[in-house]
Amino acid sequence: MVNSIVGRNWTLLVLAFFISWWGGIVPVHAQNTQVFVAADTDLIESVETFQFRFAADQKRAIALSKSLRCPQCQNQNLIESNSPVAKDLRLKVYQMVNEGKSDQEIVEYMTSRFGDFVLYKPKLEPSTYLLWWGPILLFILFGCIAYFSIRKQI
Amino acid sequence: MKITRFLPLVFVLLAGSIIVLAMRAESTAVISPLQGQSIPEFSLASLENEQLTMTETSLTGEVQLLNVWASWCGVCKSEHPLLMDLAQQDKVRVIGLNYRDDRLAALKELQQSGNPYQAVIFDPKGSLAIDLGVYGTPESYLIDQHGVIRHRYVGALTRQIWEREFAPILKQLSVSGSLRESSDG
Repeated sequence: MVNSIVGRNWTLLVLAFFISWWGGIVPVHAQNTQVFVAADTDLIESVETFQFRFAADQKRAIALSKSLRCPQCQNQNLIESNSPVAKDLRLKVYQMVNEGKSDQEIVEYMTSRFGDFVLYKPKLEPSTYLLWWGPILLFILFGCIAYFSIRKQI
Repeated sequence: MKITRFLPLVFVLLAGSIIVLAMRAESTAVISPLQGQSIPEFSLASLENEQLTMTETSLTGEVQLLNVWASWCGVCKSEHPLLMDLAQQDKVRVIGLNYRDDRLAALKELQQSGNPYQAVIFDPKGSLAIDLGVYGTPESYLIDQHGVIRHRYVGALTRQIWEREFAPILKQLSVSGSLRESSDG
């Protein structure tokens, strides 16, 4: 009995939390009746029916587009997003691949305009050391704690 | 009850507050990698006059605010009064970058709500916008006399943002500009 009341209270609490959270986010979008204009049909057509010179290029272009984040819809990559910016950038990636540009050159083109933020895989540099090595540190810390706590029990 | 039992709770609270604080801090993603660099090369028609071609040199000579806007952009309307004010009080030369818009719709919008722009670059395909790293409207760039981007703001400008982020840089630029002029003359 007690358990069920506690359980219900918890569900209510979690529900209330989500409602308040959602309430904080939704009005921002509701105010702006139009967040962005739809990509024009010419653009969509030229992206979707892009002709690559080599089949291998197409594979590379798609893989690269998947590794780049759309600057507008920040949780979608260039393939998934339908925003005009994503379509434009995807077309740019396709064109650059077709011209024989290397992955590095294309990534450089994107980051020089939109920042490192478009990379799904962050660069390894001083500001991202914690991001890259943090999990390893945590793992070592966990190992140490586990080792000492087990040794104490024995 | 042993105090160590509360250690996980303390850790979770600590981690939670760090995350909340980190999320509040201004995102560095909005800072343009182009800050401190010259405006990219472009060649686009003017919105008002199809025959007139504007290039990166049209954006040099004096300090100006490049404002990315579109007639379909709802948020842009909220910063429009401020832009009108800036233009009327002659605080800065305001140049528009009309982004992925229809020429007639854009002209109609300016006619109806007033035109704060000394010139408007018409960019229906977003080609200059891509080189600037524009990913939404509105965006504003403060460009100095030499065509170098000094500041960028993503989102609708308000008076507070103007005073806090743009006015100090503008003041600094106009001081150095007038110094140079007096030493030249």
